[in-house]
Formats: sequence, structure tokens, C-alpha cells
Amino acid sequence: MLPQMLLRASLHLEGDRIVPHYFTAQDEPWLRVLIDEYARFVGHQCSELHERLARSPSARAPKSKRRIAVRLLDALCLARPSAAVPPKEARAAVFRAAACSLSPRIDVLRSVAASFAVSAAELERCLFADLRSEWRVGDSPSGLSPSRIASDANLALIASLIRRAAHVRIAVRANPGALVRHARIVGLICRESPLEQTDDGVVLDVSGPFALFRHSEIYGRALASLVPRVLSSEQFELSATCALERGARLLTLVVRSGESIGISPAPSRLERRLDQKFEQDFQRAAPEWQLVREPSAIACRETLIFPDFELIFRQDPTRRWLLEIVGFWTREYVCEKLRRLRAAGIERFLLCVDQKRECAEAELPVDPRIIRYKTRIDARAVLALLTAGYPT
Amino acid sequence: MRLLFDHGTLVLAEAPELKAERVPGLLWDPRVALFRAPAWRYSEVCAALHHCPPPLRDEVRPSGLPEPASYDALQLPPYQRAALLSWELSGRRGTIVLPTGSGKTQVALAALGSAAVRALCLVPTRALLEQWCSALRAVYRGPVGCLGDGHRELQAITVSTFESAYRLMPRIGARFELLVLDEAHHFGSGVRDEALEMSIAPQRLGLTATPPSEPALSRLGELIGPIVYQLGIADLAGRWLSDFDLVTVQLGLNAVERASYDADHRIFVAYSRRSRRSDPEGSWRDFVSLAAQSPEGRAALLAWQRNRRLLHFTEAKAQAVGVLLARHRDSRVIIFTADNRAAYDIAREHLVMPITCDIPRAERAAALSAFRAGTLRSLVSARVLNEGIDVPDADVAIIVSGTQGEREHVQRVGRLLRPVPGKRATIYQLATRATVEARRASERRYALATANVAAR
Repeated sequence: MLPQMLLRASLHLEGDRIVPHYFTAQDEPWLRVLIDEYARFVGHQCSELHERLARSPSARAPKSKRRIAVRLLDALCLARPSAAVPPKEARAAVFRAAACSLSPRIDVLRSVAASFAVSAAELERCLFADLRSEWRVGDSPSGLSPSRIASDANLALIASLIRRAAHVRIAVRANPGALVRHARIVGLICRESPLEQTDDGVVLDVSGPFALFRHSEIYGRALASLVPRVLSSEQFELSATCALERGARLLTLVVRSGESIGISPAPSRLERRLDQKFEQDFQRAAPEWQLVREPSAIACRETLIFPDFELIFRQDPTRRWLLEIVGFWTREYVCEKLRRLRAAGIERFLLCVDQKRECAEAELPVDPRIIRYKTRIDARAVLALLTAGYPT
Repeated sequence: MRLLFDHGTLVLAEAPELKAERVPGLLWDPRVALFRAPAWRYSEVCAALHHCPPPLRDEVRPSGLPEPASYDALQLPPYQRAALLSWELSGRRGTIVLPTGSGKTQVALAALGSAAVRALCLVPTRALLEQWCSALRAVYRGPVGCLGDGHRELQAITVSTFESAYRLMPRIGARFELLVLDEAHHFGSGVRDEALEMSIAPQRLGLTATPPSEPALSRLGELIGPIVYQLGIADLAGRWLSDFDLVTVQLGLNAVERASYDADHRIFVAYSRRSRRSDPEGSWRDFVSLAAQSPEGRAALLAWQRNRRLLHFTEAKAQAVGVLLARHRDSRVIIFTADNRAAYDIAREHLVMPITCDIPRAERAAALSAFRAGTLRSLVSARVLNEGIDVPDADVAIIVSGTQGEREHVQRVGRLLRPVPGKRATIYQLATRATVEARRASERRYALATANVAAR
């Protein structure tokens, strides 16, 4: 996350709206020079490189952008140096020897260095070789280019602003299921509604339970984890209410596809261990059924339902079931869900509910489509329901 | 009606007829179509709901939680017994203010034993996490859980860093009936307050030597309880705390440093005066916020930062540290710096073991043990030794510079006040003449005095 001062210097306000100073193609020439500078300093201490960069500010590089680029390049290129004596051992020996000796500093160092069979200068180099300030500039990773730094910087800018948000609204046209599941896995509440004047668009209102009471940054990390997934979507609009400082007025950030912020690669799927286990167990128990993860959303009256799995009978693909794993739930929630499914004419739907919520059996509506689980979903119980032919 | 715990909040289900305004903190959550309240208002919510039909089923606490084991009895000095009694008479909610070195942890251990409920102790740093676990293991007969610094073990009595508690409270907030907050002054200003707001614990004990000022104090009152007992250093010095001498050493700048300081000071003062004219009542935060929006303001802030860095460790300070270390060769010396950079400079130049956040936990613990045993005679630290760490053998402190104002100063001085028979501590405060530091040194001295300190 970018520090507050740097973030503040990397944007301006238009009324209550945040306008980030995005990296664009115009920044690529000075980014190229900066990358070359890192390449020239391979093997040198990072402090030497930073001193050099401080002495030679590029006129074409805006200060805040340059600081962001340096942070990103540091993260990519700096590496811990090797040390002849492990720093921890060097420190223990040197500082203890100094405590019980009246000799001058250099004599203490020479005496300890002799015990490690290195020179005093080498021993001094090892003393703090594990500290970040001593790290060396290493080879840059393959594929490092000005455009990559520019798009990483834009991602860092947006994610840093979202870290200061309590509520995010995302409108996407394709693959909203991955976003919804991601939000749920990281403990956020996600309300879905169809995007007006589109066939397949969805609006997601994402926030955390505590956000009801006040603006809190506690969900910032979880909300920011959605950003790479949103930016990798083809068509999106992301809007968020952020406070740049604690207690400051709330401002709006809007990011749209089409703005020149670079293309973010799609992040790997966020895995819930429960899903992984069920997938493995079900494939082992029911090889005659095909299991599809993250099927399309289903319109269900005024809202949408995002099942976790679709189960398809291989010999008769018309026999398809949808399965959703429900974490937090109440009786009202389950009843409402079943009512909506029924109203939408969806009968082949299984709900797996977490038994740890400790509701008595009698409290749940009597419905064979509900499967209770504790730490693992019983794949055999699911299969039994599918093969029982309910409903035919 | 059923009351459930959901990610640091309370959710009320099956309450169709409820009038929310009768229940403190309860709001309608349209996102899930249920009533919701913050977890810290659990007692009030329960009390209010018991008067509302239909009957309430409280399902907030998860089942199968282990019961706490027993504690060994502790012998407390009279002032600690009085502090504990005050807390108990306040319904086991409130903050105890005692000077550093006076045994706040002992009071907390006695409170834990007396409450005999599941408890979570929150500490600000990883170093204190270890110290608290050791202190608990010495008196508590069950296993002690630990959250933070790579540990993630939950027990009926658990110690957690503030950071881990902040991250995990949405999940563990319903498991404990008592929260103990070491260095409670860190809360109340909004940073990490959610760790307290997401816990249902009705019993809360705050411990601090330096309570915050308003409005943080009032917020702390809401979240932990009011100050229920307070003593200053002068109340305990001599018998229960060591006596000490405070020496302010005035130093100069060399010619290059002076020229740089004056130039940057002029840049800052020029902007600051203009800014004050347009907003005379503005706070420092307002000033920074405004300054960040203009090139002149940003230049002024950078000049201010450069000067701060310069004063942290001047040439004269570096020399003075050498002289003082030589003078106190036979003492146990702690050197406090403003930042890690200065700490490492001193460590390199004078071969003094640094205790910083970069040094791994096990190595820090070994260094502190060696300091207690006398095989290390001096330590240098920027912040890690500021609060809570128990170094009773230290008898000399050299405060090279600080960044956190009077509270930090009081805490640092407190490191040397843990009583040892015959001990008289000496604290050197290095300040640079004709700079803002000289004024700050006086303010810090005043802060100690107003904390009822008998400094000479």
C-alpha cells in the first residue's frame, strides 16, 4: 500500500471526486531510464542507488510518480546479499566481546574476525547484512518493461485508495461470479442486482458487516483484494467512497474500463479449502457426474444467485443441478432463498449450510435440498440426493 | 428472537415486531434484511432485549470453548491491591493508570485470576507478546494461547498483538469475556479501535502510564471504561520505584549542519506563518493536509522533515554518546534514538547491540537476557524498548532524540524506574541548542513534572 503522503501527492480533487494521477504512455520514456539505472547498479548496495537517484532527478518524471516507480522497482529488484558470517552470529559475537573488553573498537573487531577466519572489514559488512538497507540491487525479472511498471503503479494507486474505502460498487458485464465468490470468501457482504439496460451485466454492492455503523478501514485489505479481478474484466465501472485520512470527509473514486490504466492480468482464482475438498470428494465418489465450478449467475426475481458448482450427469446432460455453499445464514435467509428459487422455477438446487451456526434441526425449513455440513461437505450425501431423483 | 455473532457484529434474527430504537446500537441492515449491532454493545443489547417479546435466545458464544484453569495467588503491594479493588468496584470495566515499572502486569494477572473468565490480553508489540506469555505461564495453570509473531494458538487465556487482534477479532470476538489492554493509550484515536468494537467482552481492563488526552480519553471511556485508579511517579518513587536524576545536555550544530538547518527552517516558517494567518485555529493535521496540496506547502513539509532527520543524530550527539558510554562503562545503559538509522549508526560506531523491529524475535530475546545477565552492558533502540519491556537492571538512559513527544519521553524514563535495591537511575536527554529541540526538551521535562515526577 502506498503511504498516505505519497498517495495524497498522487491525486487531486475535483469537488468530492478523487482524480488519481495515472501513469500513461507519456511516462514510459523516463520509466525506461529508471529501469536502465537499476540495471547499471546490479550488485551495488540499494542505498548507493537511491543516493544516485536522489542526485539526478529527471525533469520529465513527476516526483510522486517517480517515488511510486522506485518503490515498485525496489520490490522487484532488491535482494539480500550473501554474508561470509551469518549476521546473527556476527552480532552476538561482536557486541558481547565489546561489552567485556576495554580495547579500542578496531581491536575488538579484529579479535572477533579472527575467530571467524575473516577480515575485520568483512565482519563489519556482515553485521547488518540481513537488514533491508543493506540489500543489493539484483537482476531485474524477465519481462520488466516501462508499460508493466506503469500498469503495476496504476494498480497500486487504485488498490491504495480502495484500502481506505468502506464500501465499493462494481458494475461488470462479464464473469461477475468470480467477483461475488471472491468477496464472500474474504468475508464481505455482496448484494447483487442486474445492471439496467444490459442482458448480462451485474451491479455488486460490496461492504463489510461493520460498515453499517461507521466508515472503517478494517475491510480495506479485503476490498483491495478485489481490485486486480475488477481491472482484469473487459467492461467495468468501480466506484468507492474513501477517506484519505482518518476522520476526513468521504470522497468518491470512480474507475472505468477504457481509462488508460493498463491491462491487469487476471489473478488466479481465490480458493476456499471447503470447495477444493468437495470437488475432490465428489469427483472420486461420482465419476459419472461432471462438476463445473463457478457456473453462470441465475436471475432470480429482482436479484441474482451465484451457485458455486453445477453438477451434470454425463450420460444425460439435461440432468443438471446447481449447488451453493452458504457460510453465514439464518432461518429467514434460507427460507427466502428457497422461496426465490421456487418462484423462479428452479427446483434442482442444493444448499449446503454450515452446521456450526448451531441452529436446531427443527429450525431449518424441511426441505430435502438442504445439506448440513461441519468442516466438510459429504459428497455421498450430495450424490444420494442427485440419484434419488428429486425432483424428477 | 435469536442473537448471533457475525464478523464482529451482533445479528438479531426472528424479531419481526422489534422496535430498534429501544435497543442501544441496533440498526436495520438492509443488505441482509436483519437487525445488527456492534459487538462491544453486547451487554446493553442483551439487557434491552430481555424486556422485549418474544424471549431471546442468545447464541452469540460458540460452544465447546475451554474453561479457564486456576491461577496461583499473587502477593500485591498495597497500591496494586487498591487499583484492583477500584476496578472490581467499577463493574470490572475501566483503566488503571500507574507509572512504568510499578507492576501493571501484576495487577492484570491478579485481575485475570479474580475474574476467572476467558480472557484476551492485547499488547502493542511482538516483544511484549513474549513477555506477557511468560508472565502468564508463571501464575496460570493452564495453557496460554498466543496470537501474533508467527503464533496462532487460541486458548481460554490468550495473548495477542494489537495487529493480530485487529485482523482476527471478526472471527474470535465472541470467545472472550474479559479484554485486558496493555498500553491502552494506543486506543481511542480511531486507529485499530475496531479490535475493541468487534469484541463482546463485557469486562475490560485498560493499563497505561500515560492516558491520552481528549477526545481519545472519552472514546477510551466508552470502549474500556473510565479511569478507575491513578498514581504518578512521585507517589511511588523512593519506595516502590527507583529515584532518578534527569540531565539535559545542550549541544550545538556544526557549521554545515547549522547552515542546512537554518535554510530549511526559513522555508518552513515562511509557509507556516502564511498558513497560520489563513487558518489560525487549524490543527497540525489540517496544516499537513493543506500543505500537501500546493508545491510551496510540500516544499515546506520536506524542509521540516529534513530538519527533523538532521536533529535526530547530529555530529555532536554522536560524540556525546561516545563520551557518555565511556563514562558509564560499568552501568547498564539503554540508548534511545528517533529512528532505526541512528540506532544502527550507534551500533556500528560503538559496538552496541541494537534492539529494533528488524532484529528477529529470538535474537532480541537473547539480547535482553544477556543484558539482564550482564554479558551485554548496553542496548540501543528506536522504539522497541519504549514501552512495556522489562529491563529492571538498566540504570542509565541516553535519550538521543524522539519523535513521539511527551508520552514517549515519560515511557522511556519509566524504563529505568523498575525498583532494584540501592539503584538510582541517571537519564541524559540530548538536545540541540537554538533549534526546536531545545524547546521540546523543556516541554518533556515539564511533562514529567506534571506526571508528578520528582526529577532533579
